[in-house]
Amino acid sequence: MTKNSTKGDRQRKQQSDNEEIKPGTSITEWIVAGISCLALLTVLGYLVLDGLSGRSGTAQLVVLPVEVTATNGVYVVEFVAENRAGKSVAAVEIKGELHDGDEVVAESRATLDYIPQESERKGALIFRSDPKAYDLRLFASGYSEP
Amino acid sequence: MGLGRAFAGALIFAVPVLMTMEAWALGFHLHPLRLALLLAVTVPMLVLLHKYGGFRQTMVLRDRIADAFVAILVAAVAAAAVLLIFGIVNGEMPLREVIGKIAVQVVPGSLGASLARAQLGPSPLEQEEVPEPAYAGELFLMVVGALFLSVNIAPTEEVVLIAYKMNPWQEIGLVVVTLALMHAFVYEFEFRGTHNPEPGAGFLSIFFRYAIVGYVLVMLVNLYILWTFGRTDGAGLSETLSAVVVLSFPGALGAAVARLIL
Repeated sequence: MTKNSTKGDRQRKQQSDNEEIKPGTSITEWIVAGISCLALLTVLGYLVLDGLSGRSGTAQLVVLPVEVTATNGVYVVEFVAENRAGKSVAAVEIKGELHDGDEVVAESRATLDYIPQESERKGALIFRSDPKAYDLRLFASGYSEP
Repeated sequence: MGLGRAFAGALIFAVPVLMTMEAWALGFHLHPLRLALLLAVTVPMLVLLHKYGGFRQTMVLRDRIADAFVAILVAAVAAAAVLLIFGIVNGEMPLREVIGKIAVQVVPGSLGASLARAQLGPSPLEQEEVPEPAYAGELFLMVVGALFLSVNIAPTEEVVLIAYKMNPWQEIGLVVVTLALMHAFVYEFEFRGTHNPEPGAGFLSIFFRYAIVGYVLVMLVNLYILWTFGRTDGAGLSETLSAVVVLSFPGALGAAVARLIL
């Protein structure tokens, strides 16, 4: 114990002036504590607001194509799946169809592991025909709860 | 002796990550620049850590820098060897993937290598030489302690899955429990190696200056780790915060016992 305290004293002497005025609890330390306290209260405040706003019962999934790239004779349609509601979902099945009038010419599907609430995930669908020649429709066909 | 102990430390501390599937996957889907930044941050952290204990008695900055690089090399060699034996890494893989897989292991491994002396070596005789950390030092050790546990758990799918399952009230509960545990671990249970930094300091003083500051630092470290591993990409604020709170539970425990393990 005595060894420790002498070592502590030595350490304290090497510290800044603040430390010498009031050993142990310098102004800097209190500033750091204050900033941290504010940060923590902000986080808690956000969570309380989030909790009060309530998370809705169904997910609101919007799938939008981003880019179509032709490679090796196939067409890769990259998409962004956005979950606009306050509920996270898992195993989201994304379906893409190429329509020629009422007729479905081609379809393709992909599965996204998770789309958290108010977040987005990217993926791609692969078609053999050029999506630009047809009417491309992307939508989520189902999900499970995480 | 020192090198052998470093290898042992690297193996013991990297083994949970070495045997996690998601960590292998990080090898190819982790952004190369984020990986580079993580490795770059590891070096000064190890240099600073060696001030408080390393695998040999070093006090001079130059030696500590050398030790940091030795720790990283030891961790990389140990990880490469284990991943080769497991068949996770082989010669036919693209170099980019092999490097990624090994690099992910370097953070826990090099920490383990550095801590090997403190953990496994005969330290009491040398304790006289190790400087007692001041306030900033204590906070630094807490950050390393947090990193230590977080880096093992962050790659797993479970962190995000738990985050998705929790509602905001449960998250608030987790924050409160984590803070209480952190305070209790450090200053109430009186584990070996922990100490009351200022005898006579009141509950509030210690709670605010250590538990709260420590917890906020742990959250920042975890936010960084989650970002590095791509867990925050495309995630909304609520989801990111939720994952940070979940990962801060183990992180805070690591921070609280940092003085014990470091």
